[in-house]
Amino acid sequence: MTNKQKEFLKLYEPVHADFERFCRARVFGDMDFRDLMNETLMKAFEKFDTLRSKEAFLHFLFGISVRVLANNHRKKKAVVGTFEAISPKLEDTNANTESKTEVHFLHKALAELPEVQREAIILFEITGFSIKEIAVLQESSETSVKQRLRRGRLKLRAILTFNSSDGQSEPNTGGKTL
Amino acid sequence: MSLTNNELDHLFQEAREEQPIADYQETTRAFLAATIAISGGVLATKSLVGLFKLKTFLAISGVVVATTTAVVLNQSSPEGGNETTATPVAMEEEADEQRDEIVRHRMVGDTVRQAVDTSLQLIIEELEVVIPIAAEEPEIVPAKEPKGLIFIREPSKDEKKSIKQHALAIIPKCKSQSSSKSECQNNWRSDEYSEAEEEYYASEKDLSYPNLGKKELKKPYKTLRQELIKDRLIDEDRCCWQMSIKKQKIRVNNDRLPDVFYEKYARLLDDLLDVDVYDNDSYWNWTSCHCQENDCEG
Repeated sequence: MTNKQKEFLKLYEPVHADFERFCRARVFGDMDFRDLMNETLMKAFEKFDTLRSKEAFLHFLFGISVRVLANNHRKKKAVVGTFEAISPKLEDTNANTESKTEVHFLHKALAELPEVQREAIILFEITGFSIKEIAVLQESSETSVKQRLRRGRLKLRAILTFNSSDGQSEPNTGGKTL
Repeated sequence: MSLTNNELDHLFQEAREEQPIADYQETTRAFLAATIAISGGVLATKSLVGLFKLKTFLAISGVVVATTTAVVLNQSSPEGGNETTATPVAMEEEADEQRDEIVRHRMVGDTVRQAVDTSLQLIIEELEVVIPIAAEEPEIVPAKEPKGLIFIREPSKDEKKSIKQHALAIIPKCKSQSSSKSECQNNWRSDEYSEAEEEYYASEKDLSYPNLGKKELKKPYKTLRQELIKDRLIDEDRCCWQMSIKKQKIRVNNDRLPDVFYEKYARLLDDLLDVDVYDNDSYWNWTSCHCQENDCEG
């Protein structure tokens, strides 16, 4: 293992869990999150020399994965149409019996949101990024990010409520009624 | 019943606390394998690119062609495999048989061997074309020495500088001391010479060059005439003679000055009359007649 690889992995180890959660939530029902993780890590390793601050490593990784996904979706759109049109037909490729049921349904609901809303909510609610950081990652204003978060939350509530009232799937919310 | 904000926050909380499915070790292994594969791929590409550089490529293609030729030859021979174990007598017999067979083939007009021969010839021709290109080396061309050139010695920089300084030192004196232009022209050389100037003229080592003293410099035309007579360039008895300079050429009585005297007179004219012979644009003409009336020839 080279010094560069050692240094890279040293920085990656503490942020692995956050990065994995982000990738899993972000590509739920779309692709294997491990593929996104590997692709992002490879690109990050290639551009590791350009990393200015070690504290910004997670931000660096998310920035790359956001661009990777954007590129993938741009290619996909030309072939199969919009993600919204195909998302209901997709199966969960990351299904894990150990995963909690409510998180599974949350991810499923998130997959039905538009790309930018989904990304903003995952970064803000799951990964814990600030609105300012998300604005930088998404190359948009803070107001736009706030709007995305608000609308995304409203949609999520609607999706999860509809699913629970439909009776097709009953997410376990720890005894609480959805 | 709709989902409340608190319930949604609770769901996000669950998602945040969830343990990762893909553990760190697994991800690290995948990452390291990918980096090794990529670096291996880069190395392989580099080596392939290096392999297919022109010279190497041509060498490899030469080897491939040679191998193909050998294979074709071996296949075209009817008993190729038994040749190594045959005795000399058997080999002779075999050679005779082959010769007979070739004759038979030629006689019956078998074109297969001819086609093989033609293809081999083509391959050999191709090799003859390719190999010299592969072995191409830059030719070392020796620098050509100049021939038929005459190198004329020019006065060195120091000499030119000294002559110029000398002239510049004298001419102003003339201007200041002389009342009229004609007087200045007649006495353009001052009688006052510095010791340095005397030393300069005395230090001339060229024996053929006259020792230009105070007297000679004062009467430049006379000095020039004396030198011309001494070098037998003009006849002393002849009362009129002419000297000119045009396009770096010195002529005496319309005859070109011999090369052996060129440098001497160029320097002399420069010293005595401040005429730069080496300047392509300089033009100077002098006609001298010191004879009696009707005594002059031409």
